[in-house]
Amino acid sequence: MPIEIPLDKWPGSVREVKIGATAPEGGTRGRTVVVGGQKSMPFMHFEAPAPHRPVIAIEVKNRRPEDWSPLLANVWGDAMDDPGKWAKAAETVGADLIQITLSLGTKPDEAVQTVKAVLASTGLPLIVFGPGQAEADNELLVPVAEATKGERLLLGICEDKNYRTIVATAMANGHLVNARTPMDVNLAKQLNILISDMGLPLDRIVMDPSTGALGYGIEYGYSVMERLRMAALQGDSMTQLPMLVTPGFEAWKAKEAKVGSGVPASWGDWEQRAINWETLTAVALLESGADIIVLRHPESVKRVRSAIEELASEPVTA
Amino acid sequence: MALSGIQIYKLLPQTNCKECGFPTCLAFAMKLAAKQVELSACPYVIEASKAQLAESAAPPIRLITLKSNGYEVKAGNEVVLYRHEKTFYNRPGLFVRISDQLPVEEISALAADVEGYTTNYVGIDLTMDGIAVQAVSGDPAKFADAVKLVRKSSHRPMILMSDNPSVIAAGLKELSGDAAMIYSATSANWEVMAELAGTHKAALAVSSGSLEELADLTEKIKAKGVEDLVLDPVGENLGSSLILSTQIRRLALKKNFRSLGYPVVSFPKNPEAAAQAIAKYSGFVVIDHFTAELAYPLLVLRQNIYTDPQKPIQVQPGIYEINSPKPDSPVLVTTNFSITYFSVANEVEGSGLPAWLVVCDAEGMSVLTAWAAGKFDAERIAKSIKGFNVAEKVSRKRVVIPGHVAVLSGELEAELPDWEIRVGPREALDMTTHQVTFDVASQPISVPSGALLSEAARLAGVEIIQPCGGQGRCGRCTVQVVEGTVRRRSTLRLSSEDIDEGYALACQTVVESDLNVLIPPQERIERRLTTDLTVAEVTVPIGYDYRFYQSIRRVNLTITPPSMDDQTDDLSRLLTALRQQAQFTNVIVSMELLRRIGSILREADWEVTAILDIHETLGGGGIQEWLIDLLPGHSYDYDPLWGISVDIGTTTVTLWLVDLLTGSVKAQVSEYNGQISRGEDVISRIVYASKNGGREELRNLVLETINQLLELACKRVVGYQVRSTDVVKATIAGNSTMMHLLLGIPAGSIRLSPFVTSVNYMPLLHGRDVGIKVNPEAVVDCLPGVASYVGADITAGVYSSGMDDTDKLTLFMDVGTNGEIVLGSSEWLVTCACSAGPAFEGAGVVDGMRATKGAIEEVWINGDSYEPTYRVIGGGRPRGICGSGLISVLAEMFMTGIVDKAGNINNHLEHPRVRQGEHGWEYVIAWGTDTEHKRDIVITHVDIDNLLRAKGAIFAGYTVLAASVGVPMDMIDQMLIGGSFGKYINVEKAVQIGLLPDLPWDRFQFLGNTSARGAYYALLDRNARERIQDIARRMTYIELSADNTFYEAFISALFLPHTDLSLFPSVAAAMQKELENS
Repeated sequence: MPIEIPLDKWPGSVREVKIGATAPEGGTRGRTVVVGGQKSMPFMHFEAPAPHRPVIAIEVKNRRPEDWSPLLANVWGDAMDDPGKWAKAAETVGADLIQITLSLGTKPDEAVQTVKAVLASTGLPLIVFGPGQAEADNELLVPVAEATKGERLLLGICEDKNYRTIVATAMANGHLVNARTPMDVNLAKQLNILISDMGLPLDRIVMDPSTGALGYGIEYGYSVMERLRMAALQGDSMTQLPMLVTPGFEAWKAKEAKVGSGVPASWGDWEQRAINWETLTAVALLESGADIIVLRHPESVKRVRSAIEELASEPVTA
Repeated sequence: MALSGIQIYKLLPQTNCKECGFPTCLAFAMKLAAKQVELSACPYVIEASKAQLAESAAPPIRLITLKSNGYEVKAGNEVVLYRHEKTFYNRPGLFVRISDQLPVEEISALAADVEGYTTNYVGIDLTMDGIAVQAVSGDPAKFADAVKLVRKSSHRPMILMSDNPSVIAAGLKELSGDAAMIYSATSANWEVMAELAGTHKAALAVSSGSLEELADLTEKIKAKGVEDLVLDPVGENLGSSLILSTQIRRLALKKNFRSLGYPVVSFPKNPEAAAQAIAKYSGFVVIDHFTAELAYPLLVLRQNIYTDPQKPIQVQPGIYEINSPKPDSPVLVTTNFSITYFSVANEVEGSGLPAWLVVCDAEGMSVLTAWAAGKFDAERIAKSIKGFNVAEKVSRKRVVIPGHVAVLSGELEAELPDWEIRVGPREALDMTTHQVTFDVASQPISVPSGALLSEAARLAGVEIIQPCGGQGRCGRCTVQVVEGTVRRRSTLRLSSEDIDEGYALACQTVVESDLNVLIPPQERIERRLTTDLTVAEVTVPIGYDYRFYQSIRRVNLTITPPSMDDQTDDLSRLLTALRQQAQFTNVIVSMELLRRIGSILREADWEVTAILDIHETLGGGGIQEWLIDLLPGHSYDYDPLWGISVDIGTTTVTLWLVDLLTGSVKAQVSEYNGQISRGEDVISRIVYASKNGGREELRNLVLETINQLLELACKRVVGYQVRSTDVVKATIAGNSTMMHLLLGIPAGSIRLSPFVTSVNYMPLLHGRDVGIKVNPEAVVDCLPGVASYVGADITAGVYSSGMDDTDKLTLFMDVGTNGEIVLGSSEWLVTCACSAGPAFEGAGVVDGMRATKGAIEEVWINGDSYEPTYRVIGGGRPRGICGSGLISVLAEMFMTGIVDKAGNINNHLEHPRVRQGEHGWEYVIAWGTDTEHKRDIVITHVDIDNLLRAKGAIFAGYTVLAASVGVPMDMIDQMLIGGSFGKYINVEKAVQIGLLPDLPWDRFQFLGNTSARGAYYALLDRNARERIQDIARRMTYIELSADNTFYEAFISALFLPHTDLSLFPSVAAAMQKELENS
């Protein structure tokens, strides 16, 4: 029996955002990453093939993180003591971008040196996050942005209470901002409006709707991302931005991934569980529309990469 | 296709008989639309409607149930593609595949592992659902043995996998009584497989790589009478599986394509594929390798994806152990909202503090929300502590409650007398303690950082009275902090000088360091008693004719005196005269009047004036004439006949004295409700009333106010000496709480779920019963309300607006501390209430004030210089700013870019009027040199937040109400606005800040105090009671907090003018213009 597959006819599409700049473009990157451009819900190729695949970033820190799981310390080894080496190692295991997260207590000149070192050690585009406290973020990101003018870094964390300073410096120095809001469609849209009202073009904003890990509120993030993507496709320009999420950070914060002892036997093998936790969190978020996935463990990177390959493969003819 | 509530309503009898258990047919229709009730609950629905409704209710995806002894797994019945659209209902069954080729010991062991696997997630035990046995051998006997073995170790439902019907048949024989799944039918074997499925009542999976062939097969099998089918679209990889299962779900839901209206079974090759199958539409998921480290995350993911997004996610209430607590570890208390639980549990865990965490059932709300809704009170906490037998686990009975609900500690002590009650921090991450020294206390007290000063005082044995229940409204708990750091969450009723001197509201001030605190002698807080001398425009209703509309009759009687020849009694004489001279045949005389008849008749020498109130008896049978008064002598036709209409507001009581003969209002007076000193909002009044003697006290306070107003109104009348007892009729409107408190009826149930009143329809009462000093016999008509938060003030408002009697689709709102909203027309009426807070009344704002003399009522700001000009009520120098001024200044600040769309003051703007003040960033509206009190008048970012919340709540209230009945805003023909702020509001500015919708301005109409007006109209119309009762009966109350729609609408309205600018095209245009100008 002939079947007519119902097609969603979306009037809108996600904006393309390019991270990083090569030498001719005014930066020093070996290559750039473009995300966005979708005209359909995630991986619905039979409606409209997506021009760009989701990408994977690996998170590194400028100082060895003492609170990270021993599993991560084991796998990255000494590279964790040197952000440049760590970034290089991350590139080797398949990262598309590097996210460098500046630790709390970092001094402005130290931050600038770190970012420069990472820029020197890898040709990948960079995401630079401050420690996540408004004042510290402003204090570190402004000198970093000024010292790396033209690199099209993605700067975070830009939130509704401290967006002005970061947006201003991104505008002045040719960077992008990562607009983070706490798992709410309206708040995400509101922040995009506030940022673009300052004059930063929309193709220099990535939304970070934030998420919870598996078991810790992932369903909120999952649905918020689906709704944001639908709003974008319906033509709401203030939601037509690619989305970044940090399943690595979220999953490795959870007890399920972080610790190996004092947990129920029904949780099974620690390392496999931890990688499953990060990978499944990431896959669920891919299905709901993530464009940039920030991970921590190389094995997760491998598995998520393989999932992206399968999802982004050519359409089957039904 | 699913029908909307209004569409279903049109198919129902529309009689509002209540037999279905809902107050109106519309309420029932909305429950039907939400699939929360069965149509069979309506005994009167006609057959034609039934058929139509049944069609719309048939599930587009068939429900398939696999069963075994004691277990079942359901799939299907799903109605959405994305979980946020409603919810996913039936969690997919998780099965593990076992090959019949495995050694028998392995088969048994694996089956036992799957059977026995259980893991706990937020208090819920999660298990696998069943086992799929695959006939890799192709040998019926071997397969049957494997099935038998599995069945020995596991009682769970099974899937039998083979494309050979005789192998399947052998397996099925081992599973008699089960509803298993056969996997699978193909184009080659479907006939025999269908037969087997039919005979064994098994579900039949159908496999094909093409959707066309799959649909053909299901049709053929269905024709054989087998309808319990499952689809296997044979996806090659993640990408194709996702597309196929999406297409199947879309066809079923969007096209109602029955041939593919079945759940899907999938066989993921790796954990990622299994996760996708769970999120993306599989009804049954069969994994190849069973390990705990995979089962656990998959079960959790399934739990997460299938939670109802409309409901807050809950943790199982109970007692949780953190960091291996010992008997002397503290007991912490929190609510069962999952996010709250996670944050508390994580922080405590991280701190290393061993503790018992008691999770109370607060219906999944966070601490503050639950407390506000009455779901997290002392009673519930005590119930949890007792219910979970906490006392048995601890040696030291010490319980720590969240800092946000410090106010509960007193009540909790009463509920748990043998426990020590401690107040914890507001945020879980703050655990340090400080010393607080009170001048009147003997020794310092140690409290956690973040504790309230009022709580510290209580622990120190220092009494601080809190009439408003600790909500920061009354200002009576003011203390002076002479040393140390505090954070003032609210500074309502404190001047900036006060703050400089260290004054703070104990109930709103958080301890942040060691402190020295003075308790000032408790002065009586001055409360202005205002009298509203400005009389609102009131006109007598057109066509008012005393003879037709008034229930009161006044007749002059000349009675034959008794004599020795005629010894008829006095009463009979009076009744005879009433019958003969006025045709009143059914007169009722009260005991009180009976006692006085004799003397009145004799003193008046048998010439009297009788005043009667005429009412139909119940059931509309006959007419009764109640004798209200008997006065000596005859009256003149034009002598006034007095009645009063009263509106009891939570804040203000208004009384109009009316000449019933002409209908004209002769005096209007108003005054603050005397109950204010016992709490400023209805919730704190209810709480107060529930305390010992509180109910009687509140009743007396409001009676005092009404009686004083009555005296005052009588004095106001020019040309007549009016006594209060000359008033022969009264009507009263007011919200449900005010009505209960006036009559001394317990109001506690109004505040607590399921939020019901004691009485919505009051019987007719008399002055003497109510305690109002009108004529004791005067009928007092307390107008009927609809629900706890939709009272007679609203029914009276609707009545006075006439919206119940017009074809025009009307939105009526009464904006006060509580915003009440009614939408509808003569056809139907829906209503809701939302809590807006007092900002529009000028309260809760640093320089806010009521709209009286000296208030800034309108502001204009120059877009280039940022300099304001303003208008002050009564001219002269300003003292503060009222609601309309606040709306105006916010709109101007927004349009000129002084605040961004989120209401943040632009701190990059270098201008003397934009500065960092006591409360953070602020804008100076008037310099001290220009004000009456010589202080600057400012609007702070906290004020702006309060205003945004107030306007957001009201906007969300009426848009959600309209959406709940499927009415787009622009379909609304007229918008009527009541409340005291309504007189002054500027439509343009109110639209600019997103308080009012962007409709043509001629659709807005301001009505002033609609409740008072409704009571007045009711006083003049003998049919009013019936009409208002009819309005009350027809109004369907929508509970806004029933799901998270309101919350979403509220968040999106916390923006200027709104997150979705396309809702405000005129504002967008004005902003564009402003941009071009600058």
